This record gives sequence, C-alpha cells and structure tokens, in this order.
Amino acid sequence: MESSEANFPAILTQARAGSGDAWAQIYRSYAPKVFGYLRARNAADPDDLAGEVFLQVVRDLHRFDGDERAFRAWLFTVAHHRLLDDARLRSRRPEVLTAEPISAEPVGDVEAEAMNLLAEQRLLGIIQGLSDDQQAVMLLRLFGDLTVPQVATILGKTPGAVKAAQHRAFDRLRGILTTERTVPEPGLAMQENPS
Amino acid sequence: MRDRVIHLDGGVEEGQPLLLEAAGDPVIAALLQDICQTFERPPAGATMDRHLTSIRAQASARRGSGFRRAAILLAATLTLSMALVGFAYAGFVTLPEPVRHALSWIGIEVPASDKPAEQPEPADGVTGSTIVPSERPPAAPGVPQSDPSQPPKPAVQGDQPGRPAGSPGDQPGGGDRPDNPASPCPFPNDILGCDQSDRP
Repeated sequence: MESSEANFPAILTQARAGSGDAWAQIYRSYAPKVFGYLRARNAADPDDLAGEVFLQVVRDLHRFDGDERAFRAWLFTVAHHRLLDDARLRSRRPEVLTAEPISAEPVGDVEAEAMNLLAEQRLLGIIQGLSDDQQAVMLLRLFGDLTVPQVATILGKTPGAVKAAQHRAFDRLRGILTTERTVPEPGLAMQENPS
Repeated sequence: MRDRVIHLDGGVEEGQPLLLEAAGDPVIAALLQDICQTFERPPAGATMDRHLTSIRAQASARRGSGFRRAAILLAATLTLSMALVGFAYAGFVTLPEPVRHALSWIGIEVPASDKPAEQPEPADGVTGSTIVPSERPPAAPGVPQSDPSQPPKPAVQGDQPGRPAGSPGDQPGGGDRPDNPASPCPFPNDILGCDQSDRP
C-alpha cells in the first residue's frame, strides 16, 4: 500500500483517461479489501456485489477529487451503500431458489478448503453477534484502514457515536470469545445461532 | 497493504488504526487479525477476469462517451452560432459590435441593425419633429433686405420710371402731353383718332 500511495496520483490520472491497465492496477490493489468487507458482512453474493462496486467507481470517478486515503474512503462508501441496497432489495424480493452452478474453479487442497470454510463460518458467527452498526464500524475500520471521522462520515454519525459503537463492539466480542472458550465446540455452536 | 505485525503481548509494530487501538487487548487484536486473514483475499481467477473485462469496457465506454459529448457540444455550438449569424444577416437580431467586428475578420459582414439609423437626439426644448424653414440666402451687398415678416406687396402697374418731362418727344408739334390717366384710350388721341371729348 505504501508504494501504491506514492504513485497513486499517476495511476488515478491514467484511470481518468480511461486506461484499462490503470484500472486493473486499482482493482488488484483494492479488490481483496472490498471483497473482505463484503464477505465479512455476509453479503449474499459478494463476487457480483464487488464487481458492481468497481463498475460504479469507474462510472463516477469524474466526481472524485482527492488523494489515496480519500479514494479508499470513497471506495468503501460505495461498497457500504451497495451492500445496504442489496440487502434492502433482497428483503423486498422473495428469494428464488435455484440450483447452485457447478464451480469451474480448480479445487486445490480439499482439507485446507474445508478448514478455511469452517474458520470463515466461525468468524461470521462471531461478527453476526454484533449489532449492524457495530459490524459496520469495526469492519470498515478494519478492511478500509479508515479513521473514526471517515467512518463517521460514511455512516452519517458523529465521531463520538462511532467510538462508542466500537467500544461496545469490543466488549461484545470479548464476551463472545469468553463464551466460546467455555463451550467444547464453539464454532459449531455459533453457527447454530449466529445472531 | 500495510504490515500488521501484532505481538501477542499487545505490541504492534506497524498497523492500521483499528489494530493499533486494539493492541492493548491481545485477544481482540488476534481476532481482528484472524478476520483480516480469513476474509481479505483476492477474488478467484475467473471472477477477477470477468470483473476486469467489465471494468475495462466501462472505462473505454466512459472515454468514448467523453469524446462523443465533446463532439456533440461542439456541433451544437457551431450550429447555434451559424443560426445566430444567419438571423443577424437577415436582420432579425442585432449582434454586438465586438461580435460583428470579429465576424468581419473572417469575412462575414453582418449589418449593424435591421432598424433605420436613429435620429440624433434633439436638444432640450426643441421637438424633434419641427421642420425649420430654411433661411433665405443672404442678400447681395447693397440690396436692401426686405423684412421677411412683412407680407409681400402686390404688384403695381406702372411703377417703372417714366420718361422725364420735357424730354424730346416722339411726335411733332410739341412735347408730350401728360398722359391722362382717366382716358380709356391708351394712345395719343391726335394720332390714333381717339375721341377728343375726353380731353380736358
């Protein structure tokens, strides 16, 4: 990220001019973080949602003006709003169950994949033990490397409210982890009652 | 991505804001790092290719639309300008002087206005529509100038200067007798045989 911050203005200028290579560089730099945020927020389809986020950034880049930190804040603002829109849309529209397409991705180490899946589900259970605001505050700060004022701007709250939400989130996480240690199989227990 | 080296004793060498704030609580710090490592990973190859294709297409479309917008704007500006010049040429509108001057530089002479040239503003107290009669030309030197305010005198017969009395006559036997103004005979009676009764 440090090297990206140094040459970010040049990359942004090329991206404004429509350079596909500059956009690919931006995508490769920030997509893991955006994916991480969307996955940790348990988005229904994080792949499609992340693609929409970057397409909106491409469309609206002419409105953006700022440095790398401002760009990161703007990117996560878009991601957060797209996540809310998607959740609102899915709550209104009845979900149609379809057969899952067979993944064309090459399957690597099956055991590692299974362990990753278990770890992901355990962590999702822990995160969903937090309120919606607490999740947003903690994960925006974590994946976006954002400051308290930046998160406050994204969420439309005061910095004091963001700090309070973060403090309560940490307290809640301590409680969840303490409970997890006392239960023999904490990950599975969290999955049964994630909220 | 920044390095996130978090020691279990709570120390953080370099990290992002939230991890630094959580550094005092090793359990929370470890959990946050676990969340990052688990969820923050690049998309799968096929997904990344699909996204990059869409992003490149969108960026290319944005660039194309920028050129297209500029071309449309230029064409609209030129069309409006030509229409304005045409209206000005036809006399429907009046272009300001700098514009006409600029047009004349490229060879387009636009009339100043479709209206006739305006009359100069009359001086105070004088109505603009009053027709002032032209003054008479000055009289020749030595000729008495008549008073223009007096009505012209009626023409009087015989105002020519007559012959001086006693001048050599044109008839024998004496000088001219004075003309009898009352006589209806305009000629000398003794020559043309007019009636003598009217002689005094």
